[in-house]
Amino acid sequence: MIRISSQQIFSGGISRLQELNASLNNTQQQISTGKRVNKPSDDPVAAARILKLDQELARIETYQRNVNLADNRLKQEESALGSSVDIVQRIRELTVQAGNGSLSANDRQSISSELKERIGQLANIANTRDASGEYVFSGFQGGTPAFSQNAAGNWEYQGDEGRRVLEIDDGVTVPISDHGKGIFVTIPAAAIGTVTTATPGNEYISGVNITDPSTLKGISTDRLEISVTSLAPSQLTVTGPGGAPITDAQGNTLPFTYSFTDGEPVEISGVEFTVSDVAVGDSFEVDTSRRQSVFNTIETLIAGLDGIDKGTAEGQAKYDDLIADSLANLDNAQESFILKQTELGGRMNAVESTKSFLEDSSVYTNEIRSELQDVDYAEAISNLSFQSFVLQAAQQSFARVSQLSLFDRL
Amino acid sequence: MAGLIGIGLTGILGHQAALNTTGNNIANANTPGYSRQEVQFDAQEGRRTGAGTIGTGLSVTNIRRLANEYLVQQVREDSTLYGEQKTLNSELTRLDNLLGGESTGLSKALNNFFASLQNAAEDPASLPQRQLVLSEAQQITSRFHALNQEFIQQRESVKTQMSQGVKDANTLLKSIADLNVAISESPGIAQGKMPNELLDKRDEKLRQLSELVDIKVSPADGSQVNVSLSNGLSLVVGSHAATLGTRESAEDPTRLEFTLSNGGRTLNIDEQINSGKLGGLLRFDNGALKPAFDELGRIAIALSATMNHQHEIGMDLEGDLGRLFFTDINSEEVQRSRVVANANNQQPQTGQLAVEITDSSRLAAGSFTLQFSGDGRNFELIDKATGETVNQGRMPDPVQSEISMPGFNIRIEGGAFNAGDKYLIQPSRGAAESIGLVVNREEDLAFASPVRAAADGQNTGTATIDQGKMLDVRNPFTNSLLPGFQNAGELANGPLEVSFAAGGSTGLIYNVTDASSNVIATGEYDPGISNKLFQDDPSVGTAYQGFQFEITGKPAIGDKFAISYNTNGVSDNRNAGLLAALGTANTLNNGSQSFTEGYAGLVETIGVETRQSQLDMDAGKTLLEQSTNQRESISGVNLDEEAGKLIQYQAAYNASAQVMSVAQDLFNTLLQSFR
Repeated sequence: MIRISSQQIFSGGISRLQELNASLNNTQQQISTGKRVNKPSDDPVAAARILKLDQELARIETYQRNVNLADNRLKQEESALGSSVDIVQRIRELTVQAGNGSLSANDRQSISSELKERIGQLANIANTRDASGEYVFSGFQGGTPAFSQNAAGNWEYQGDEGRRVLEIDDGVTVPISDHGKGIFVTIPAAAIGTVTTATPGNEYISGVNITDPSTLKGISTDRLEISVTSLAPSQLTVTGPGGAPITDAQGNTLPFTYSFTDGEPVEISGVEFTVSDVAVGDSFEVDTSRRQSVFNTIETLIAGLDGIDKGTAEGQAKYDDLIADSLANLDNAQESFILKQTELGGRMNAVESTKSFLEDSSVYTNEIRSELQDVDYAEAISNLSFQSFVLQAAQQSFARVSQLSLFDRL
Repeated sequence: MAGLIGIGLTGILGHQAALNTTGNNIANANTPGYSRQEVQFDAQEGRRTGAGTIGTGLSVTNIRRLANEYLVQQVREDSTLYGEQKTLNSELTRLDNLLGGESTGLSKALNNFFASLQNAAEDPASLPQRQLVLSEAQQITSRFHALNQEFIQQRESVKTQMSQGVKDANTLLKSIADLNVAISESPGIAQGKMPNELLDKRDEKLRQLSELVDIKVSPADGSQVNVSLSNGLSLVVGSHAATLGTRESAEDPTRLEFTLSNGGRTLNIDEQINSGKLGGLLRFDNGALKPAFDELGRIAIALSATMNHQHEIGMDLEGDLGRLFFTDINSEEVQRSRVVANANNQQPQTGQLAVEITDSSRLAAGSFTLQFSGDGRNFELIDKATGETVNQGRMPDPVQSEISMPGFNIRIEGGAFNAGDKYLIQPSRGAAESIGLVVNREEDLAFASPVRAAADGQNTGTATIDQGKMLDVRNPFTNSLLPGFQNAGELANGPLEVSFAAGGSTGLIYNVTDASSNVIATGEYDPGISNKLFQDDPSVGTAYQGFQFEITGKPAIGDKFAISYNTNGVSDNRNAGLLAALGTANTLNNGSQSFTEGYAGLVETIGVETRQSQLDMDAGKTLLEQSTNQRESISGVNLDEEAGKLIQYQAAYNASAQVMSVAQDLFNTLLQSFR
């Protein structure tokens, strides 16, 4: 039989009570904070994962904010492009009107004056600013207007090719701005012919028209140099820049010399053009891959409406070419805007799907975090009642045992 | 009759002594260290008569102290263990709460900072957004400072406890020596009459001492005890007590070391103190606090280094190159502060050393001892945590040289080195203290990249150029600015022009020319792939410009692209995006951990240690309780038992008195018969 000292009865009893109190307090703390892991040592591995999940949640929150901001910016850009499409549409209508042969010079004047208004309107849209006053279409140079008028009164692009990109999820970025150069400036333009004779006479080139784009695409150059070699028979040579022979898509060298009729269309490798009033030695150039800004198109149109004398055959031909080219160029501009709008739509879709993905991952991450950190109330409360039951029992038995003393009987 | 009175008297006196002893037991029922005593009775030698021996009563031979030396020893051993674990646990718990707290830890500040950078990337020109980035960055540095300050406070608290513990131990050693004297001089000891209360007192002092340090107790002449540290260094020999002490550590002046002074000699005994409260303090300092300093410092260094590099290759709102974001991790002063010369080094102590961080991602948190031997030019670098030699070699003459380690270099700049000289190398120890914010204006935050590219308006091909990627503004070998970045606000050798010409196996080559028409990079162009214009390797000459551009698509001969300084590029957010991306980039541990993961690793390590120490402490407590119970079962006072004895002795006392009363009656009867 082991001897028990009176001190043991008391100190043992008290330290048991303290232990029970401590675990009861621990359970109580878990319940009142709702957390199972209150300090890292409660569950070191979970604590480290919780820190990682906290970072994850903070990032998701940031991304969610970025998604909304990206969406706003894309919407602003889209609405600017929508207005641009409308304006170009109106300009196109005016151009069609201007092409009506029965218009008087005055009528053309009034069309040109409306066009001048419209071009200003379009420039305003291209110079759209965001909420903090930065120009949306200037690339990196948000402090500089995207377009401004030079000394000659022509609208010129002032920005660069920068594009702002925002991260909306880990490794997922979305462009939130586009530079005006790509939208308003580098628009494919109708092919044009120019006279390159050193001392030009009466000759002119007109009716430049791409009749077969696929053939044209195959040949080795996009700049045709044409020179008239003889008039009886009428023959001209066609070469690439610097007199280089032209090859087609299969690598065959194309003929060098063609016959033509003055004032009648000639078609070579998918391009049609008409040379008129030519003399031997006259030379022309046809440029098939030009790019021109929408402002330039409209400015050229305005200048033509104001300046071309339709009285001569050349003037008439030029005017007709101007209207046809302008219509083609305006169509291209509209296409450029709509293309960008489509791209924006795609980006907004991506933003939208990222948004719902982020919402989902936020829910999941919170769930995992809660599994790691949060207390299971059912378990904790049953622990609590069990522990308090044990504590009560221990208190009562301690009180009973400690009262027992032989001295009371003496 | 006289005999009967005498017998009664011995009974009375004997039981009086027994009652007194029992009373004393009852009175000392709660005295720490008290061992219950009992009276040993013996029958007195009888008178021989013809009829036989007639007893002459009772004699008290001894007052015995019930104690078992083995159990007392067991209690001491368990007290040592528990003392160590309790101290370790209470210090670790403090650290654990500090690091894990949502508001006191680092992770929230890190998350907020990188979130603010992400937000600023959306609108890089906005000053309020920039202000937010600055204040969150300030928060990070304050968190580092606050954590570091808490570590320092805990270090100081450990030092205070060390000095206090040593004082307590000295008092105990003195008392034990004094008690040794008192016991050996106590009367009757030669006859085996032990001074029970002095023995109890000495055992109690020894137990208290064993809570502080691990001791060995061995008996000596005259019932004295000798006390020594577990490896044999004497603490108490008979009446002489040695003195424990603390002094500033020669190796690391921010620490204390334990000393033992005996007969005018003072020794460093850190190696011998490995248990008890004092051992627990050392264990906490070496095993948890110092690594925590190093780990926190490592995160601070990695954060400063990566943020600084990324910020320096950016462009601020005013078109200047970004400067330092946080304080430079390799400033002259900081480099020197990473080396601490041992105070015991031989004169003239002129050795000049510095530690330069070369790659924060490869830097491991730890500290090292650089130790010289031979003629003073042989060196050995020892990892403090493992005790292993991680690098050794011989310095050239003159000594200027570098010792390369993963992530850092030890630069030996000059001075005299002698055999036996030691230097403490702590690459990351002070970094959490020295981190500070250098950028202080919103405009100086470099959210843009300093280069951009544009296609020429006359280009006829379909090739496009990207906006470029910055690699560096300095040549990493010379640390001087690259040619393009030598003038503020412009590309000094630019704008660069990329042009295409016929040639090469692909039929197309590109040339990059600078403003003075010198070709600085050239190569064949393959329309099928993304073509890098420059080299990424800084050692190749002008083809390394510190940035990289890529062209894709099909350019026509004669097409041109211009690469220029990003003048007015206020809306550019490329660098802000890259800065924000550092938040999740794996920048630590050879590129396997992000900042948050690095910090979580520290939290986890301390958490595991705390939990382990909690379990150890619980086990130690149980062991101590068990051995205490065993000691109590021999030496403890049970009041019921004493009450029983009280009754027992009282009855015998009463009976003895009755014996005397009978003797008196007998005597009276006899007197009356003669009247």
